[in-house]
Amino acid sequence: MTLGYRAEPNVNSYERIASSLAGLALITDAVRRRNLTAVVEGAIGLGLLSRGATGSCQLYQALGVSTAEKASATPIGFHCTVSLNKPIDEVFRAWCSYDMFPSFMTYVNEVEKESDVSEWSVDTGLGFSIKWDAVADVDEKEKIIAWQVVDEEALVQHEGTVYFVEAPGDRGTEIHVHGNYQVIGGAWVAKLGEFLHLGPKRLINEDLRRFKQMMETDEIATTHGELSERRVAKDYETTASSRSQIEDSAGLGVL
Amino acid sequence: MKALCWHGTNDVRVDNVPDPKLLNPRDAIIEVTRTAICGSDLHLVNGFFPTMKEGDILGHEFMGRIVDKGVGVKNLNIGDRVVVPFTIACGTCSFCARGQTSFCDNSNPNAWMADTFCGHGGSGLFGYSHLTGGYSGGQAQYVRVPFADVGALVVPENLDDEQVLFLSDILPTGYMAAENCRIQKGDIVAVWGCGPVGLLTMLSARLLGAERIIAIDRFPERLEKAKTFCSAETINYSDAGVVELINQMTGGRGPDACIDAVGMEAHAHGIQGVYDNVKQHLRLQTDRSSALREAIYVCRKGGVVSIPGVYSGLLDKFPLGIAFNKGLEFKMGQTHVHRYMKPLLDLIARGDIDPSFVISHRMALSDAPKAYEIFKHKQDQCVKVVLDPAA
Repeated sequence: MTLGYRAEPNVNSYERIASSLAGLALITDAVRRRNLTAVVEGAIGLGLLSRGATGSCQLYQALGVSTAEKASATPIGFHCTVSLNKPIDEVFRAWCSYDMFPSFMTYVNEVEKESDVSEWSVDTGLGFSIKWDAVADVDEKEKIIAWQVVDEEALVQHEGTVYFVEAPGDRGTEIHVHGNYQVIGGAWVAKLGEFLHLGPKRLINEDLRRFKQMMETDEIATTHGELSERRVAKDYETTASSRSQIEDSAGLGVL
Repeated sequence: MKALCWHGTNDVRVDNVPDPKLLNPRDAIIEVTRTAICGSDLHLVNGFFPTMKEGDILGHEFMGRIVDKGVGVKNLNIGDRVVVPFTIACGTCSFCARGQTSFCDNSNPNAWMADTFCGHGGSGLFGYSHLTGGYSGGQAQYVRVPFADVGALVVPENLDDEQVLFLSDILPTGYMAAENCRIQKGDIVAVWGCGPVGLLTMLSARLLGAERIIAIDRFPERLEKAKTFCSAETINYSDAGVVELINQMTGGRGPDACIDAVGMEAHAHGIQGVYDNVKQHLRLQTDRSSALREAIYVCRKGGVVSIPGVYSGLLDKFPLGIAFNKGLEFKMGQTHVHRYMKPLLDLIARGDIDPSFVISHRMALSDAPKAYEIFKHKQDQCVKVVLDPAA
């Protein structure tokens, strides 16, 4: 689904992001300046923003050029993994408890299960949450869980498998999450998300790390709330009399 | 509470900051009775370590009394007098289970940062930048100690703070560095750096049966401590050619083990010193390694080079060719403090060793900025500064 125009996209994802940002920058500057040249600048900015947002560039069309990726509806894949110093049965059983998910999946607000379908509410970190319904097929013997979003309206469509294997030697258990996802708005939105570290690969790897911490230590390591996490100016005062500047002696006087 | 905070390169100040709070069930809060400044703290102050933020509390060598604890801490009581290891360890990941606590998987909340930097990041550390978790350090009146049930070691009341404080870092560090040399009967061990870690490495090498110890430094008071307390034969590298002397002292063979207790801010006279300093200033290398180069050159064929000295990034002109051709074995790393604490405490309790000989200055926490200055510039024959947070 593209936003707005009917034309086929002929601009690739990264170029669309760059074009949108450049367009926004020009528009912001034009609004700030508010003179005759600013009007021209604003018009160019609008053009750049529009080709970025829609992926369709009239200049390219006139020239017969396209920089778009083929099949922009291809889902993006990911593979995340972690090793735990715990037996595979214990790890698998713990993972199968849905209500535990929000405690280590930081962006998950809640998961509710009604018969076969689980309803997820996920915080995007951008000030709003998205929801989806999913089903999972659990193979207890092989310790594989296959999931799939079944909600056509969901902004993010995804599916994948979580599987559990014994790590070699006495190293415990490995969890592997293979999946792929598509975001409404096309590949460029997903790429932007990955760029901003909001992509599933990064988030799931961090979730797996937290799951490991909970399983191995019963808590999640944190310094959130320590002094180093707080804004400096608000929380302390310097005792001026105990301040001392140490002279920098790291010059070239080595002899 | 008062705490020593980092404010930028060469700028540390004692600030009034909020007291620490319990954040996790296995936390404890310690009221610090003694804390020390480490040579590796200087890397943070000198601006050679990334990810420091203004306001970070420094300090990773500390001890005190437990004043509060989380519900998960079952083996300690309020009022217990404890020494705390500088590496934070969960006790149950596969590395901790093997005794390799400085590799703990679970104690660094910023593990993603350390993983990006190192491939696989190590444990969280107290007061050592956000790369190691951003934990507030122990140069303060109170500290929050995570995984206190694994970390904090109760010490007997009849031992002074000064006798046991160094179980937190430098004594286990020296011991592990010496143990890594796999010292055998008749071995000669050469140690570059007669600072506190170098001195305690020499002490440990003696305990482990080294035949002779050669100590290299340029500060007479440090060489004197090496001679007096570690029975070392000393070389002042400002006066003498180190390589030639060591070869003479070892019958032309070279030492069986060489220990670099200097680390990334090594000093050298002459061209080598200028070269390393210029490159470091231009950020074309992050670490200076003249001591390490010398150790590699002079070590005997098939010998061990053991590195307790801290390195952080990339160094230039590393003689890997020499190391290869002589079949050298390299051992290094942050100390697995937990596994050495109890055995070393037993030695101290029996009177076999007393690491407090390294202390040269005792000051108040309020004077910590001055203490850093003295320690950094080795003024007033400074070797090791211990701070009292109550004074």
